[in-house]
Amino acid sequence: MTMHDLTKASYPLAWALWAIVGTGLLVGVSQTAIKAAALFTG
Amino acid sequence: MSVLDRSRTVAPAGYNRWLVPPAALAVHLSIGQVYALSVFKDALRERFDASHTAIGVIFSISIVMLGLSAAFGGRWMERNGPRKTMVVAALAWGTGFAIGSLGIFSQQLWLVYLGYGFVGGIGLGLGYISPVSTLIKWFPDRPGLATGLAIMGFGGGAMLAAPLSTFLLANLADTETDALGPAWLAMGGIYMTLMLLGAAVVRVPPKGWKPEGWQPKPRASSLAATGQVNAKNAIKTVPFWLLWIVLFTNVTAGIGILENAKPMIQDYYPQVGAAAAGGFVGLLSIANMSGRIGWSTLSDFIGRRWTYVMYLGVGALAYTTVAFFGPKSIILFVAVMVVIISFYGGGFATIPAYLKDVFGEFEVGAIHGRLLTAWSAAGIAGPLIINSVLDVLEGRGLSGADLYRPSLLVMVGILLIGFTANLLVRRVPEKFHEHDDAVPDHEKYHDEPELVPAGKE
Repeated sequence: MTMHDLTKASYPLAWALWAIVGTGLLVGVSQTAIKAAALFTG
Repeated sequence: MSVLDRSRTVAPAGYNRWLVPPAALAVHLSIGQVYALSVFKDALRERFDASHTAIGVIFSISIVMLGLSAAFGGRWMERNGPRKTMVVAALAWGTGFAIGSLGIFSQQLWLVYLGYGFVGGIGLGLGYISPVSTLIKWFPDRPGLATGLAIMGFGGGAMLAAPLSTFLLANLADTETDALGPAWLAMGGIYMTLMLLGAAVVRVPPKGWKPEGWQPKPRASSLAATGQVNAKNAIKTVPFWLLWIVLFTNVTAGIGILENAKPMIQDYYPQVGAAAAGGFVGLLSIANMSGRIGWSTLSDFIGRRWTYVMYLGVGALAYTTVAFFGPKSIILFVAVMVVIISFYGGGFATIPAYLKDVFGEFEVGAIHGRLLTAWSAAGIAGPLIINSVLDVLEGRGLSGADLYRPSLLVMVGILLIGFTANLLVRRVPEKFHEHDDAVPDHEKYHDEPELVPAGKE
């Protein structure tokens, strides 16, 4: 595998990784916020 | 294995610097699992028929190894680059889980200590420091944002690991105890894959790269580096040890609260059930993560010294508020605790940018690694202070909020020590500076392309 191939491959992979970690964070934060709401709603 | 070499990770001209942060997030969200280890505590105790203390040792070994491997691996990381470091961290973290699961299957607790604690702890330390100096180099115009991006994932790792662990324990066998081994194997595989994806994506900027249209500001503050300092010299300076005290005090105060968050809210407000208390712990995890990116980014505008004045000064007021007014209103209690833990996270994320201000970016990754020994020390001191005071007061028959007031006031005193240390940080004397033509180790050993292209924002 050449340097050029690696560079080309890393662009879509980086965006895909953004999508994976971004989705994980969004799901985690929203699920946690829903659970934490129980503190104030009883 | 040349594909892992530092020279092979240099970005081409025009590379978008915003493609680098997901690599840091992938690594830190994976190793941040260590904060959710308590999810396995009951199953581990049952599997090994062991005490709280014996199971607690697993966490302690991993945090001590985190500090030691960050301290001793910092220069190796600078020399070999972030990709090789991330790959070693991924292998250590994944193998740590695998050896740990072997210990669970064979009921050998020492194998869990060796695997998750020792080997996994090395993965924690190398993974933690791997993206920091790289992101500082990509964002020289916003070092606080850079270090916030690098480290924020560690605060959020538990938020993802807790539900994942619960799901695996519930679905991989009939009982949680039987599911423990397969769950650790699965988690090791998942995290190793995610970290290797991060390693594949990470890129360092070409030597001399800077953002389009950006010019470094003249050094104006009383502590900004006028020269570059290497890691060996940095630890001989007073500012290094003052910053060590700053980090140690901030972490000692926060970690004691984090470790006791669940029982604490139920002692203050007995009507809070287990599910709502779990939600409170999750909320603190969000605060930890948000503080890392939010406060660290703010430090680019108000300066690092004033940011720590806020963490330690306002933090001391916040602890006092919880001690005296915490039982009066649950909204006040939760709001102040969220602020406290956001300062805890912010303290971790802002310290590498502070180090860059004081020592320059010459070997900032290695210096950061050495400073993290303060975390190892605080990981022992914080819980020890809170738990020993709790034991004494429980023995005297106290309960509820009264149990925590003395510990919280001890933490106020500790924060004020850090507050003073922060105010004493001064510019590093010139005798510790590198010569103008000095190059860091990692640039000595590799023939990196040198170009100064305009980078994308």
